Amino acid sequence: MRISYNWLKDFLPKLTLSPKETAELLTMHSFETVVTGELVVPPDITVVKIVNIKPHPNADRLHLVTVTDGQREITVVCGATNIAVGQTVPYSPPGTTLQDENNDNFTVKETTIRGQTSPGMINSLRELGLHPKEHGGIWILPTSLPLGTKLADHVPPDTILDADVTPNRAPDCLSHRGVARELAALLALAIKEPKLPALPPPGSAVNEFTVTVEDAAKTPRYLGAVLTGVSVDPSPLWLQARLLAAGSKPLGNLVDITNYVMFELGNPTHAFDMAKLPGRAFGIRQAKTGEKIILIDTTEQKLTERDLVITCHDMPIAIAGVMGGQDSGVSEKTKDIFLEVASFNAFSVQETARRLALTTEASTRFSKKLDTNLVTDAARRAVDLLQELTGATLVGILDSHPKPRSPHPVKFRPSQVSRVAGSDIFTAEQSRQALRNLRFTVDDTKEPWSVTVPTDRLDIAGEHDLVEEVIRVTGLENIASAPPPPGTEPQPLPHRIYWCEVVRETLVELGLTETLNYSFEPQQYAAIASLNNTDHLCLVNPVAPDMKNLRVSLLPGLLKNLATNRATFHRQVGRKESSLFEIGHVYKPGAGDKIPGVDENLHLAAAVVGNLPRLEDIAQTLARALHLDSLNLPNIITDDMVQKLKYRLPVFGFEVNLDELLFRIEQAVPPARSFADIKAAAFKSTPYVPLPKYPPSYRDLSILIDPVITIEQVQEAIERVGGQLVADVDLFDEYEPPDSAQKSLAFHITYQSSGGTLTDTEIAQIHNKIVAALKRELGAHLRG
Amino acid sequence: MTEPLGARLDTLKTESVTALKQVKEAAQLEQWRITYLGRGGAIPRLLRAIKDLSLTEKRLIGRKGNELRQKLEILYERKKQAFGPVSFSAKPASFTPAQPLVGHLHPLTLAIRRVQQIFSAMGFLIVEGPEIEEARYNFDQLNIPFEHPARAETDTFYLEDHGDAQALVLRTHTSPVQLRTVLENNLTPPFKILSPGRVFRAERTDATHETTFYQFEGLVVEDGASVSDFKRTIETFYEAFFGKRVSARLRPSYFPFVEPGFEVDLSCVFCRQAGCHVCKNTGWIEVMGAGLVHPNVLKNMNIDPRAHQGFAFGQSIDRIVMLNHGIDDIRLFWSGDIRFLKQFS
Repeated sequence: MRISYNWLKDFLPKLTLSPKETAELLTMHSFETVVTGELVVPPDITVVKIVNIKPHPNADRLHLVTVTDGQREITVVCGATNIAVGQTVPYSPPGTTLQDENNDNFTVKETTIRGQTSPGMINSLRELGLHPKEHGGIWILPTSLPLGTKLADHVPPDTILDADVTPNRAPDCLSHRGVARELAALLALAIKEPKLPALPPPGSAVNEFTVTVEDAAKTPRYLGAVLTGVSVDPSPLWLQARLLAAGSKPLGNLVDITNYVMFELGNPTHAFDMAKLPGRAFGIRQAKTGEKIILIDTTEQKLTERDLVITCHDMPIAIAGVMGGQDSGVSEKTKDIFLEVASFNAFSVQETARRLALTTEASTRFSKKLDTNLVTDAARRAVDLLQELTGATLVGILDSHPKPRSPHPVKFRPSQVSRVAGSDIFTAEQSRQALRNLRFTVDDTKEPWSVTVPTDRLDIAGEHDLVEEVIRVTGLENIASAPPPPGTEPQPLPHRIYWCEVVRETLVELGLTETLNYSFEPQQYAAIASLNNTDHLCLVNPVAPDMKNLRVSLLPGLLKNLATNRATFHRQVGRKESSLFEIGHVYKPGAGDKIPGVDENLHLAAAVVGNLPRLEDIAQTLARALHLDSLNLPNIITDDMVQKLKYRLPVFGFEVNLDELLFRIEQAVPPARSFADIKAAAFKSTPYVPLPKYPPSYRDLSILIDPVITIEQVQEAIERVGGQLVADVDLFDEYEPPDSAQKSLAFHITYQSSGGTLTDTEIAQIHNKIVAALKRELGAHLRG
Repeated sequence: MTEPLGARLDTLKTESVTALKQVKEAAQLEQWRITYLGRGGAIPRLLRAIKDLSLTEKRLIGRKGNELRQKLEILYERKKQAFGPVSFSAKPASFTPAQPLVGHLHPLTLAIRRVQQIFSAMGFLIVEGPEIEEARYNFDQLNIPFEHPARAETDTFYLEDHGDAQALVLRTHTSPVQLRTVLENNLTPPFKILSPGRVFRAERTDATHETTFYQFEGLVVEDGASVSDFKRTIETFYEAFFGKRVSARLRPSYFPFVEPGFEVDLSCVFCRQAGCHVCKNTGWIEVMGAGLVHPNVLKNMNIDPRAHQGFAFGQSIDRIVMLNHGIDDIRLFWSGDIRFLKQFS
C-alpha cells in the first residue's frame, strides 16, 4: 500500500523521523515498509487560465490554446480533448524538465508544430511526473488558484512509502490513519484524529429509500447516506495531492472524496447517481446465474450465484465490494447521490474478485475482513467532506447492522512475554505501556490482567497475540540468541535417507549424473515410453495442458532429458557425463497406504548413453554397496525409443522401486556424526557459470611426449594458451609403449566463445598456437 | 615460490600420509581425496608447477611426483575398503574404464544433504512424508482456514476426483510432514524434527518462480523453545551451512501457523555486511519465515499449549543454493541440461 509521508504528518504533527527512518521503524516493528519515491511538482510550472481555444489550421487533432498568467497571454499547441475555456491548468515554459510516455525526462523547447510556434506546453499529470499511468488529457486545476503563481507553491513535495501490510493487520492498517496509529504506538506520540461529526440516527426509509439485506453473514453492515445538491468540480489541490500520493487519479470532488476516505480510514465507499437509479428499493443478495452487469470500467461481467450484488428494484447495480455498475455511476452532472458505506463477507469478495480478475483498491480491502465499526467513521468523514467540498445536503441515513461489535477482553499474564521471548528483558511496565499505546485498555488490578481489545484489531484472539504485540512493539531485535545448550546428542540419518545417499554416491562414482524432473509427466515423452494409456492421477489446475498427469514413472522425464542433451552427448568423445539418473516420487491411483486413493513410491531410474557402464556393472556395484546378494536391472529403454529420440548412440536404462529395494537392506542404524565433524567439512560455493549462448566446436590433439611430463602439465599449458576460448580439455587416450622413450597422449578440446560462434579459421589459429606452445615448452610432437 | 619443489614434495608426502591415518570415516576420506588427489588438489597442483623447472629437475621431480600420486591412490583404495559397510561403495573389480568416470550430484541434492547432516548433528530427527497430501493436513490442521487465499487454485495444485471434504493437493510446504510425524508416532515433547522435501505452487514460472521447489521446515517443542532459543538454533545452522560467522535478525511477520511470526534476515555472508549485490547493499539477506507454534496447531498435534511451547521455521532450499552459487534462473534446476548439472559436485 502506498503511503504519503505528508499525510502521516497530518496525523502525527510531532513525527520527527525522516521518511526513511519511518520506513525502517515500521519494518522492524510492524510490517515491511520502504521508501519508493517522491511526489514533486517541477519548480517552473505556472498556474494559467485558458482564455481561447482555436482549431490548428494545419492539423485536425490539434488546437491552438491561448492561456493567461494574469499578465500576458501565450498561445501553445495542444492535442488534449478535455480542455475548455475558463479552466485553470498547469503551464510549462521552455526549459522545464517533464516526463514522456515512457516516464523518461525531456526538456520543453519552443517548437514549431505544423507551422505554428508553441512556446511551452500545458500539461498532463503524467508529464509532471505525478501519475505515471495517467495519459488522458490536461490536469484541470481548481479555479481558486491565483494565476501566475508557481504550482509547486500549492503542492508541497511529498515522499511515498510502500507498506507491505501483512494480512492479519489489514483490518486496522490498510489506511493512513491505521499506519499513523501504528507509528503513534511505536513512538508514544499523540495522534490528531480527523473531524468525524456524528450522523443523525438512521431511519427506516429516507426519501423513500429502503435497504434489504438478504443475508447478514454476507453483508454484516450496510449504511446508506442520501445526499442532495452535489456540485461536481475539481477537488481542492490538497486533496488531489493526497490522492496522487496514494496512487489514485483525481476525477472530481465527488469520486475523489469516496477514494480519499478509503485511503484515509480503510473502508471503501461508493456513490450512486440517484437520477440514474431505477427506483429507491436497495437490496444486497447473491446474484443469479446468468445475470449480467456492465461495470464502471465498461466491461460486461457474467455473474454466478457465488457473487454478491447490490440491487435496485432487484436489478444488479454493483458487484459488492468489487466495482460499481456503469449505469448507476456518478458523472460531472450528478446532483443527488446514494452513498454506500458497507462491510461485506471477505471470502465472498475475494472469490468474486479473483474469478473476474478485478483487483481494485476496494476489493483488496474488502477481501480481508474489516471491522464493521469502521463503517461509522468512514460514513461520518465522507458526509462531512461531501457537505464541505461539494455543497451537498444530508437528507438522512439508513443502516443495517444487526450484530454490532464491541471491544472484547483477553486475559494476559505479563510473565508470559519473557517465557515466549526466552529473555527477561521485557518488564511488566513495558507490557502495560506497549498495550496502552496500541489503544488496548489494560486492567492490571489483578493477575492475570484483563486487556480490552479495540474492535478493529480482529487479529487479537488470545494471550499469545498480546504477547506478540508487546514483543514486536518493544523490539523483537532486542532478543539476543540464547547461549548454546550444554551438549546435543547427534541423531543418525533415517534408514531411507542414508541408503538413498549411498545409492547416489555409488551411481556418481560410476559416472552417472543426477537430474531432477517435475512430478508432472511430459505427455510427449510418456507417449514414447508407452505410458499414455496408463491410469494417472491428474491435476484440476495444471500450469500447462501437457503437465496435467502426475508421473507414474521416472522414464518420461529421463527421455526428455536425453532429448535436451542429444547434441551435447553426440559430440562428446569418451562419453564423459553422458549418463543420467533420478531418484524421485511416482504417484499412482491405488488403495492408498497413507493418502486415500494414492500410491506414492520412491523410484530410481537411469539412462546410460554409450556402452559404459553396462547395466550389469551398475547392478553389481549397487548390490555390493547396498549389501544385497544380487540385483537385477533389466533394460527398459527400447530400440524404438532410442530411434524416436533420434539417438545414433546406444542407450540403456532401468527403473526400480527404491522403497522396495531399500526395504531389503538390513535395518542397522546408520552412524550419527557430530556437529564439529559436520561443520569442519566445508560446503562448496563454486560460482555457477552461465550456459553459453553460442555453440562449441571440437578438435582432437594427439601428441608424443617425454613420459616424465605429467598430464596435468599438458592440460595446464592448453588451458593457459587457449585462455577463455578453451571451454574443456579431456584426455581420452594414454599409451606408453614399453620400449619407447616417448608416451602418447590424446586430448579432446572444446572451443567456445561467449562473444559469438567461432569460425574454422579462428579455431585453427588458436589450435596451432597451442600445438606450438606444447612443442616449445614441453617438447611435444604432433603424432603423425 | 619460496620452498623448492623437491622439498615440498617430501613435505606433502609426510603430511598426506599422516592425514590419511587420521581419517575415521567415509566422508572424511572423500575430503582427504579432494585435498590431495582431486583435480585442484595439492599433488596435481604440484605436478603442474613442474613446468617452471629445468629439464633435469623435471625428470626427477616429475617421476617422484607421479610415484607419490600412485602410492596415495593405492592407500586411498585400501582405506576405502577398510570402512566396510559404513563406507560408500568401492570401485567394482569387473569394471575399469579408461579414466575414472565420475558423475555429478544435483546442486539441490548437495544442499539438502548438507542441511540434513547439519540438523541431524544438532539433534534433529529428519522426517519425510507424502508429496500428495490431504488438504486437512496441508491447511486446516495448520490453522489455514478454508477462506485463506493460499488455498485458491491460483496458488495450490488440486487433484481431480475428490470432493472438498477430502480434497487432495500437491503439498505447498513440508509442515504437514511434521504434523503427520507427531500424530503417527505419538511424539510427546521434547522433540526436534526437520522435514526437507519437494513442494509445489500453482504459479507461472519465470526466473524467480517455479511450480516445484525444495524446502526444509523445522519444528522444536521442548523446554526453553523460545524466540531466543530459535535465534541461536538458526544461527548455528547457517554458520555450519555457509562456514562463516553469521547473525540473524528477526522482523515481525505473519504466518497462520505461528504466533508471534517473524521474517529472518541473515547478515550477508557474501560481503560480511560491507554491501554487495546479493544483499542489495543492506547487509542483510532475507532467508526464512519462522515463529512460535500457534496454540491451535499445538492442540492439533495433541500437545497442551498451556504446558508446552515450540518454534517452527521454513526455508526454500532453491533460494540458498541460488545465492550460494550465483544461479540467476530457478528454472535451471529443472532443465536436465548436462552443461548445468555437471558444474556441481
